[in-house]
Amino acid sequence: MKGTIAAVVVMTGYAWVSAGVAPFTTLSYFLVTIPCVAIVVAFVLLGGLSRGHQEVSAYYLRNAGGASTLSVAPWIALLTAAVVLESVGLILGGRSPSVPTLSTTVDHLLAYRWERCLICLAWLLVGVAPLHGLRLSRVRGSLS
Amino acid sequence: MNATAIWLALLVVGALIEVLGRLRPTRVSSLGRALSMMAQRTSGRAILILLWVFVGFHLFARYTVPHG
Repeated sequence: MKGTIAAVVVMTGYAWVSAGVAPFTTLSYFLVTIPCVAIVVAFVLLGGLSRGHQEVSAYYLRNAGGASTLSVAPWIALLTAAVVLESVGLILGGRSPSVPTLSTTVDHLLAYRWERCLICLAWLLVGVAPLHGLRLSRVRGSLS
Repeated sequence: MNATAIWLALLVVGALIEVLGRLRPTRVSSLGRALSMMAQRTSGRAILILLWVFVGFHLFARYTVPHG
């Protein structure tokens, strides 16, 4: 529990620093690259990208809880609608005021540093979540 | 109608699907279960990681603060 709290505090600090850096600078790319490399390397070390680790697939099979193509159909429909809307926005030039792309819409949420910090923290947590799950699963002995 | 409203509507629909997925798990999958289904294959996990990396660079290294 203490480790989890410490990790969240560190990630919050990192998100705050990242949120204060101007975009399109070397430092902004560097600050995004660090967690990307760290998390991808950790995921690979846990066997997340190895075809030989059947246990990893079994872990996700358990988490899927019997999900089928039919039960995920609403998500596929939602994704399709988003892709269509994004395509229309891109065809209209990407910055059309009537049909903005998703990134143009999201840019409005990135105007203030605290907003960028919160979204960056959420992004980091999403990246760390599978590592946490795989590691816990391994600790519990489900993975060998 | 401004398409920003459609993006918001899609967000609301996504939230409703998530709620349905938790209330009726046998009929609708929650987002976590749907992603886990995708992650059962190595290629699915690789795609999810690439998507996560793309989102990070796009949002935090290449954002544009709108004017006006």
